[in-house]
Amino acid sequence: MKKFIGAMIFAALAAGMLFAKGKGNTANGKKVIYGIYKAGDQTWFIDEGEAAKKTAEAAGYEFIYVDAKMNPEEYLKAIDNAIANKAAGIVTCIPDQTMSIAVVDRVKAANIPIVAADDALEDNGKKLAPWVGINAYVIGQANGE
Amino acid sequence: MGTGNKKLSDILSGGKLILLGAIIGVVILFSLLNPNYFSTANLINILLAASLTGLVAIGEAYLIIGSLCDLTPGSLVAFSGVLGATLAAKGIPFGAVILITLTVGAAVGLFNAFMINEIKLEAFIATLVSQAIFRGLAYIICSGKPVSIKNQSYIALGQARIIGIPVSVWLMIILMVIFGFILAKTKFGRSIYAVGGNKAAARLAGLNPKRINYVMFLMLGLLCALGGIVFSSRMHSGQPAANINLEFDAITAVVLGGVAFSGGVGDMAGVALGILLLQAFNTGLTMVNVPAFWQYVARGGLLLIALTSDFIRKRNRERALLEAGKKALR
Repeated sequence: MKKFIGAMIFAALAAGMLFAKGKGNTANGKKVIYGIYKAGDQTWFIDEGEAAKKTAEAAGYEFIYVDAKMNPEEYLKAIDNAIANKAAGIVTCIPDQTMSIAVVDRVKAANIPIVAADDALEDNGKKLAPWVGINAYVIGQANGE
Repeated sequence: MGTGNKKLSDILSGGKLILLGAIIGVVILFSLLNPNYFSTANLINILLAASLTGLVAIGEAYLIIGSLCDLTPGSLVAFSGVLGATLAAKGIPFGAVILITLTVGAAVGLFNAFMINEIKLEAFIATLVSQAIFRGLAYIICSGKPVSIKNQSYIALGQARIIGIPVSVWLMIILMVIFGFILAKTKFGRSIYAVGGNKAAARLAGLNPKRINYVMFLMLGLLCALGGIVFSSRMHSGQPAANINLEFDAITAVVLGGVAFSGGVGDMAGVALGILLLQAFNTGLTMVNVPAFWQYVARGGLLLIALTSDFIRKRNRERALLEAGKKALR
């Protein structure tokens, strides 16, 4: 039994090594940018992540795409993961804006720049970090016309 | 060999050595792939990420050893977080918020046990009912909108550290030691093994499985409520959509830690190792940039390992019993 379990664990580790695409920011000399998206399994964010990845890689960074699964806990884990991995920057769409202060405080303490995509990081309407968003009003108006 | 050594060997007996080896293997592997993995910040990070699952896993371990399970925790943790945040937003002092939320969590646990003991629903079905009810109630009490927490005492709980380690991690460690002691060293703990191993025999031996069920579900309800308060504090808000599938992570860690899904077998040391392995693995996947969708496959693979090892352990126990029976008949 021990041999069987040992073999299965080894197989899982080997698979992990096989699919590991990068080595973090210090092993391969590249700095890492995290893209943490609230619903990373949806086409909108997949496309957005692909574009961010292209831009990051063109600038010489490695890009780590994280799907927070619309789950605030997963999201916070991803933020902590980026901090522990000494990310050079984070681009993010937060699952819920009431968490904004907790997130911005955390990354500011770690001295990591953060940019909000789509949904702003804000508290009572006050932006807490740079924001790249869409003009929903204009989109809605165009659809109505 | 001294008594102390014997105790250590007991603690690390059987599958736990394999688990410990697997944790060391995972840490070495991911550290080789990314040197940042083996840093104080990340190791604390792993413990912090494990803390909520750990709290739930303590209660799930009791239930699974008692041949039950609970699918409510994800919903109940979210519900407790929203309830706590809502009460705090109404100006209720933080101490009272904790007390009320824990009481409600305990009541939910008793409600689950009531459905199983008195209405005779299967634990799986009864707690699936509760899972839906309390997820719905989490949305209802906040009208679907997350509730911001402005109470500074409340927020401080999630931010506070003791010797550099977050309070939620200390909570998990302390409660694991206490609940591990109760499970291993008290009459109540032994009665859970007896009920989980053979309910009819336990009843004939004078145990009261219904009462044990009430206590176990009450404990898990309290742990979920506590988890909800701590987690909402970390997020600065009560989130009705939070913690989906939390119970499955906890059950995976429990089974991975050597608790038999069929009941009657397992201990808290194994559960602690199971949680550490699960979280060390999950954290490493992101850190070495395994693509998001492959992470689902990898986690499924880990669950497969947990269930397969549980099946093999069960088969070996049955074989050993059969052999013992044959010897007795000779």
